[in-house]
Amino acid sequence: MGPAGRGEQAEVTPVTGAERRPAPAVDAGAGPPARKIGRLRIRNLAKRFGEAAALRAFDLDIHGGEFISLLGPSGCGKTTALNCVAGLLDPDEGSILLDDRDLALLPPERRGFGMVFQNYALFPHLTVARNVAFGLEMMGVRRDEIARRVGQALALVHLAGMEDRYPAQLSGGQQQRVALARALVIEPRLLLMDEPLSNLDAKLRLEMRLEIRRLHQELGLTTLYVTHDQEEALSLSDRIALMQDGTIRQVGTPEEVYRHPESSFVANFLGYRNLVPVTVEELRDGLARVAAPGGIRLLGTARGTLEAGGDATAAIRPEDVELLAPDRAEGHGLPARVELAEFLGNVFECIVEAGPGLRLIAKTEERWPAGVPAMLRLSSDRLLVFPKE
Amino acid sequence: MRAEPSNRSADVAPPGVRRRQRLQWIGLLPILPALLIVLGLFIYPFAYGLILSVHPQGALAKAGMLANYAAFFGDPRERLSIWNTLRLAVPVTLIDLAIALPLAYQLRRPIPGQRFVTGLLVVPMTLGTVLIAEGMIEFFGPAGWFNKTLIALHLTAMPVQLVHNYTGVFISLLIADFPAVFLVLVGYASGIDPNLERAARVLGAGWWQRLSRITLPLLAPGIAAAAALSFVATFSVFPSAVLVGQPAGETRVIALAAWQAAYERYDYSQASAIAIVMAAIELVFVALVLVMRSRAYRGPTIGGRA
Repeated sequence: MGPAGRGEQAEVTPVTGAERRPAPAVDAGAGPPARKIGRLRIRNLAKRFGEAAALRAFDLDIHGGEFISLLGPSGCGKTTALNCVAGLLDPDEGSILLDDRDLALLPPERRGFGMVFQNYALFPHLTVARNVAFGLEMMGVRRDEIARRVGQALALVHLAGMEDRYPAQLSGGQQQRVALARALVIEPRLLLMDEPLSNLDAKLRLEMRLEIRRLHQELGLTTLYVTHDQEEALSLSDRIALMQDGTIRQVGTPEEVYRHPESSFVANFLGYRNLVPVTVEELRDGLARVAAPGGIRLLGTARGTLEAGGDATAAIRPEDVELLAPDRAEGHGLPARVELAEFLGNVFECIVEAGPGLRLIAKTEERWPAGVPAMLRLSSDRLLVFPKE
Repeated sequence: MRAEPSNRSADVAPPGVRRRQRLQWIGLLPILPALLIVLGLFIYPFAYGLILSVHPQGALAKAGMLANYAAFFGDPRERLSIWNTLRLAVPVTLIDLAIALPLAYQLRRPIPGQRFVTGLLVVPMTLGTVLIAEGMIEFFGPAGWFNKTLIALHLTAMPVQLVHNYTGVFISLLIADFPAVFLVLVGYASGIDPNLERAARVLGAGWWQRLSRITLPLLAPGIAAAAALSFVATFSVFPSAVLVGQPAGETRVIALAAWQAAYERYDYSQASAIAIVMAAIELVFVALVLVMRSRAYRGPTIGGRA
């Protein structure tokens, strides 16, 4: 397993907004800087497969050099959107404009995009070098130039020396690197990636995630990345577009969508694992007093258009559910009982019952034995109340 | 104190291992019937025929072991049967491949009507050559629908001779042989990951480049298998050469030559020699195809780990 553990070269700084802008392409043997695009504008894209709408009213702007993720559950249309951008699918409606040029009549082979497929789609009958060279051969690049650029691309993904192997002789991670090199070597105007890490095991997935981030920082390639993994999207992206049922629900930086979800769908997808159906009783000063199952009253932050008496969804992250021993709670909080505790390594995760029909997941520092009584505290600025969807 | 397992002598297998070895032998039992069938119905008759062919009978009995072969190759009429067969088998194989290849490629994935079309294409397989030949005599005969249509359209004044000659056998083989070629190719084509063509496309490959660089190389093993199957089947043509051919003339194929030796001259030894020549030619063709195939790529048709 050649390149295992190479991830250490990549940035390991925490993911923060200010640092996410791609660095200009560094010419440290990484090949010439990519042909930059100004902006890709996707307007009102729609695609149906028979009766089912895979994509509807899909709008997205991608700026040059940006890394943008389409995040959503399987079947939400993110791969359809990617294939429309690649030209592999013809949208039924809408337009895709690259620097104000409509791509509708441009077949995929003339768009000059790079694409990494979920199963890598390496040509099994060609060696690593021939796989990577394929796009350059199609462009009619001179033979010596091809050899030079293939060598550079393979060095970039730490696969130098593997030129003569066949894809079947490589590990999953190495195949992934070949797929990346093959897409990068043509210096694509836009790099499209379709769940590129989903076929890797957990350890390799982390390693390749860092690798993709390193390549993006080094080359500054405009990238459209499809994933169903929130962690992947949060760690890689400049911006995230959350998709549901063929349309975008929210677009924003990782911090924005993580901290300020605009709907219970987005909240649920980004770690608000506790969703409680509630009825709004009172709205005041941006706060909502709601009734949860079992008549339990909760106070949360109002989001979106709520009205008193209407149905709503209350959402809170497990890490924001505070669990206290009854004697230390000084009477504040909801009386509850721990049903189950699971050890996750750094924390424990407990399922806590606060009343009939009100079951919450809580993260705790110490183990709570099953069956013990506890007090729950849900801070009103961490508990978000969304209109019912 | 128990002895360490590593102290055991290496050639004495522990009981567990011996039991496993015994089980391995038992595991081979299910192939026994197939082995017996191959031995009894293929190896034995073949060996018997080979031996028979080098023991000439009658006038050639004293002429040496290879007299039957010498007689076959020495007689221009007999020799011609090889050419008569080749000139059917080779074009039929090539044309069936050429027709089946694009069809198989189109029908490799579920599309509307795929089952129906595939079913339709495979029907001739269930008919057998005799039924096809009889149908052809009716359809392509001087008073058949085909000629009636041609005359009605003023494309010809006189019925065109399409049966009882080379053309008749050619058409019948084309029909009878197609399903096998098609099925083999569909099997291979449907095993090719559709993402490979998409990947090639995004990388700038036009349709011809995708075909010549990706699809055909990956289909090469299937083309080889289909070609070998088709050639062997058509080279042993017999019923249609008689029923819709001209068995005394241009469609006197090698199987017919062997049949005449066996059942008109009652010279089984000579007939066996002809059959061995036939097998040898088929073997040469299959070997040729396999050599070409080994030069093409042989491996998985799915890139990466699906």
